[in-house]
Amino acid sequence: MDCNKIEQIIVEVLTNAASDSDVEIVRLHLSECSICREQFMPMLAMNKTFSIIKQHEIPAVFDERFRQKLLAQKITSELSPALKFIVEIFGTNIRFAIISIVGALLSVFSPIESLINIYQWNIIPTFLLIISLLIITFIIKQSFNWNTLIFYRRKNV
Amino acid sequence: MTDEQLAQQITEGNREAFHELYERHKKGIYNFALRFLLDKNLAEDAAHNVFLLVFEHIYQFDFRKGKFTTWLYSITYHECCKMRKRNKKFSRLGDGEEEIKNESNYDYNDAIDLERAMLRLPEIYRLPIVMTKLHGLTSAECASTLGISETNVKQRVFRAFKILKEYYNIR
Repeated sequence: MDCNKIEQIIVEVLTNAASDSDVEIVRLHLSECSICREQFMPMLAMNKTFSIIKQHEIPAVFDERFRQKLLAQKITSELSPALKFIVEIFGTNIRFAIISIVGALLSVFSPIESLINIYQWNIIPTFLLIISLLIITFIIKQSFNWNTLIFYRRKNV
Repeated sequence: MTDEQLAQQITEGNREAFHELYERHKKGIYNFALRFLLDKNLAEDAAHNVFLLVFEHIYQFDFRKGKFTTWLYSITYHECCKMRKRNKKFSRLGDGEEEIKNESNYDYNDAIDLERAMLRLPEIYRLPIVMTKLHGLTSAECASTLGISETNVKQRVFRAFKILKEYYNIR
């Protein structure tokens, strides 16, 4: 058989698409043609070796971390639109979100209120300031992936 | 029970079916993500996201259009692409390659050498070979996942074998 045709059949063999008769044709041709044997035998040997490559074990905490993410997603999906917006801004870390809300409330009702009194600020610019801070936080969160940043830092330490 | 039947059961609200699907595919999806991203942490995140997406969008799966595995690997491929794009700025992907290589869960040298060589392949050749040779996808399924033609998949696999052969010759 023509060596070019054998190459086409070899491609089928390597992609697990060859029939038994194709495999037999290849075997016969390789036993006769030294050029093809030299070219394709290493590939066929590698093809066999692929079947003994083992899968890597998943990390021990894989399931637990997934369970946490699933739970976080469930909680997020059950939130009211307003709370969902807050979680969108601060991520699915609920504790962080709650602390942030409390912090925002405190900042509105105590120190900023006193600043308003001292500097005679109007409440509307203050409110706009808080909203713009929230938007900046949102933009930063969208631009950065904090987890990766932490991993990156660890790698470079 | 087949994957497609389990998927059908999930849409009917059977959570046990999702657990069964997760247990069946978690290792495969993690390994695919690992061999794509070459980073254990990113691979874990990607695999988790894949299952979250599957759980969320399972009603979009139409078993008349294709196998569940093809749909699952398609989601994994796109999630890995997204993950790589998102992390490009901060991490040099490929650092984890050494980590993967150094895992000694083999007792056969040829397999270790072959996997090392495979991890060095450019992505366009690595992915088709990982899908077809290590995850048992057919070239048609692989083509559908990667959004290329079946002929193109076969050409890339053949080219990958040629590169691997050259690597062995140099060594």
